[in-house]
Amino acid sequence: MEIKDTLIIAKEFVDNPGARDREDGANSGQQFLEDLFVKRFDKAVLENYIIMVDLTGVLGYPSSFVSGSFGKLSIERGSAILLKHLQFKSNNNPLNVDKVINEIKNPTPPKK
Amino acid sequence: MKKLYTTSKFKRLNTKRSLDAIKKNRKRKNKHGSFKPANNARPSGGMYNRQHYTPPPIVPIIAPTNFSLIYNTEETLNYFHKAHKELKNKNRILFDISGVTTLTTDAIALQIAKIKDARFHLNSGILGNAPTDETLKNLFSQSGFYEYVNTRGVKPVNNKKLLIHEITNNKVEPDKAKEAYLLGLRHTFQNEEIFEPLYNILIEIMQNTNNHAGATRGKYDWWLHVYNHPDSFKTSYTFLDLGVGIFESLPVQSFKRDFLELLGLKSNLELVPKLFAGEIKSRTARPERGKGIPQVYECSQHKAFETFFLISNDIYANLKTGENKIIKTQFNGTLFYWELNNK
Repeated sequence: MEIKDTLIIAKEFVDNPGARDREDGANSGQQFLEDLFVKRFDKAVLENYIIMVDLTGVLGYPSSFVSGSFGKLSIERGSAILLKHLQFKSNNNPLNVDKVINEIKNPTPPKK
Repeated sequence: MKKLYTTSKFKRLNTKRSLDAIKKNRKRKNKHGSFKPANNARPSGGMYNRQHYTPPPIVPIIAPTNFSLIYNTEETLNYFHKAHKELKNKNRILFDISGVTTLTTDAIALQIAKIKDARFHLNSGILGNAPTDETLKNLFSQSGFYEYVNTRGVKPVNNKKLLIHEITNNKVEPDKAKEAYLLGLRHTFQNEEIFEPLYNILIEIMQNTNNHAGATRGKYDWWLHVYNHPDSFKTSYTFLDLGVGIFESLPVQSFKRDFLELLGLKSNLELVPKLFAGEIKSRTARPERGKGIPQVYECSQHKAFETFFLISNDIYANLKTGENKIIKTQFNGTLFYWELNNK
């Protein structure tokens, strides 16, 4: 499968992410997921290609943001499909790639 | 004169109307006369005359000479407790910090937050003064204190706005986090290169306040104070809320109920390592939460953070050294204080 799309979070969303849910405040993980990411992800699944998610240039990745975006999608769709259609890179902090992949593999479960 | 006014019918009606008005007026005055003002509350008028009104006394609350929540916790907390006690007794108070010889910005931030907190001031009068010591007076003035209080005459000039708060809608504010983050980076590192631990800390502690300061989400305001030390590259951050405190928050309370006896835990002190390690999870709170404080702890270990403290309820925690202790004077709220340095 080839990479046909690149999503640069700092440019297409914000460089200062917020917390988890919309009700927590601006730039939340939920906002990123619902307003931007899920549409691109669905297209990638439908047309069978990979999205390169560029984590570079963002001031930080608070755990609540990562959990409210990548973690939430992983719970909804399953980690396997996310890992199949997503690749990550970060020029300034490669540890962020591990952080996001770890959240996808071990998403924190939502309220039951 | 109109002919109507001279008729006996008009005169009779007019006399009756006047008598009714006098009667009504007397009745109204008597009603005011039976009013008993609550304690020292000022009566609104009526039978009372201004000469009889005694304004509530002004009680000076003298700040400890070492006015610092971080380095003189008990005395500084007692100072605020004394003030609150007087306010509850309907007295006016004067925050007297004229004699302080040591002053840290966490104490200034707490004093501003207290002055602005309706549950603290109870609509009573709060007066205050500044330190007599010239250096401390400058620090006090530069801290942004005067931006948040009414002063007589001209307000001392403060070119840098260092206290970041205003009305936050009690939410996580990434723009304010970025502003505070950049203030520290520009001063301490003299650049704007990404330093993730600082940004992550700011967002996670805002989230903590939003979720855990009270039973209702987003009930409490938070205060963020950033101070660039003029004689060094150091930047001090104070973040506080006057909510219920971490150890009285729902997730920790729930954890305590479930596991306190089971694990043989006797005090909040024993919960501190578990809190930082992310082991405090509760049945009732949202299980996807609980990663924030562990992330704050993890980030605080970066060498650029020279000091890092947490004060909440009866706990005083030094995140850098791991020395935690119980404080006798309860702090109802949560305060984080840290210093960023480029050594």
